[in-house]
Amino acid sequence: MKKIAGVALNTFRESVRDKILVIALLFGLLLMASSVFLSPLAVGAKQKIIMDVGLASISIIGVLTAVFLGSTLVHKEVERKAIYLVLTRPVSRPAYLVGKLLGVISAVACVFAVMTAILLAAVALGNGVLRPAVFASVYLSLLETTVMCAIVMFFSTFTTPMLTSLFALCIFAAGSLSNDLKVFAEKFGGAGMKLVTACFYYLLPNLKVFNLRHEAVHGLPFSAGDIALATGYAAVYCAVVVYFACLIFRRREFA
Amino acid sequence: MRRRFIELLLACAALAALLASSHGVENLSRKKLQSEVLYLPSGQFIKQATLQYHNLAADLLWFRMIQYYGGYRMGEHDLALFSHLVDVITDLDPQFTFAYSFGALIIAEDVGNLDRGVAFLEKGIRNNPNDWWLPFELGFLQYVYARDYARALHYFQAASRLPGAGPQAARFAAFVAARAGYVETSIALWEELRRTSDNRFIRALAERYVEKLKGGAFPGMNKP
Repeated sequence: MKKIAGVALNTFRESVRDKILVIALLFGLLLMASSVFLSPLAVGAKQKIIMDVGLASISIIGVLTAVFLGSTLVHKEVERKAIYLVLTRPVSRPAYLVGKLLGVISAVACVFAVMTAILLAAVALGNGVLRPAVFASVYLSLLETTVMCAIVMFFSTFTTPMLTSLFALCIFAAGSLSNDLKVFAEKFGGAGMKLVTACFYYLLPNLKVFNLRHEAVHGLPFSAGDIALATGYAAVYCAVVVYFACLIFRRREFA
Repeated sequence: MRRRFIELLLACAALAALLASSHGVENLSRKKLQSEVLYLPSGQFIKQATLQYHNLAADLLWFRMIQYYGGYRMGEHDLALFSHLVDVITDLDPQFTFAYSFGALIIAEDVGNLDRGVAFLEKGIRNNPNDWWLPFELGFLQYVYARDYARALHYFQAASRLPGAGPQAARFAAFVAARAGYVETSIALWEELRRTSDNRFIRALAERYVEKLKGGAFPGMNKP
């Protein structure tokens, strides 16, 4: 546990110094600021637009940060040969990977915290209503980003940063559309197509369960049970993906 | 020193060239906006294409719609594609109640298509059964444009029964039930709307329509 914490702390420090994190944060803040400055042109939809853009920015920036930050972490260590220093100490490869994952998630959580604070300030300044669903939505976005971090970590154990980013973004798109894919196959596909689609449907992350933005913006009711279910799903999904990442990473040889 | 001066001069010239070229393509981009609206796909398609960010897409289209309406007010076009824009926006975000109410008013008044405006409000009521403003506005349109007093009364009463309904809903129902002279009641309803709406754009619209009614410039609406 101590070893994992050590790797995580080191990864966190490394991540917060990374230019990608700063650029992503600046870009997110710019997006949120644009919603505040453009809201007078929104003809009556000011609060909705500030909230929509804010919550979407948190989610998009979170996922992009996870993808671009996570994709280079293992690769960079291999390139700098720093990984030899870590792995020659009594740090197991799974502990190294889990530590790396926790470090990236902590760095992304900091981005979330800053962006959420700014969103709350923007809503409060515009005399908007802060509903519990807003916090629940940010929490679910963080879970979505955590799942994406695990997926990025999985790919980064055996491929290049460029391909890792590409695969992760494709999975993000497919995971957002997995419900539609299943409905489409059920309506129009044959038995084989239905089977293949069902496999993809259950293998891909169902990212729709982490989306509470619509409810948060319009003050619609949401269930605490659904949030608990999404939390459990994220935990199981991450554990399985990290397990497979460890399997691959254990067999990898560093020349 | 001289070199620096030349560099500064060149930088200014480059900036001027950039601004001039941006100004040069302004009309072209305005034309593109028209064609973008014309070829805008259905809301269902955009919903899939924007992954889970359809609310954000609805907001971007909302800005586009305001720009498009601004173009109409400046005499650039005749709002032919306005209904499509409102339809797509409300498909992307069915709980965007202001899009229904603002869109329906413009469609009924500026586009002159009352049925379409009513259809938007009915769509809004289907998607937001607890929002009192939508049936209230529907009653308003039924009174002011369709002159269907029975329906207007029905919608005003329905609005007044919903949670959080403003006092004007019951008041409008009473107005309509009393059924005074048509133009007088219409002016009274618009003025009430202007006084009570918490949205400055609805208030501005109401003010414009009151002036039209008082000036007798409302096509086909002067006969009680």
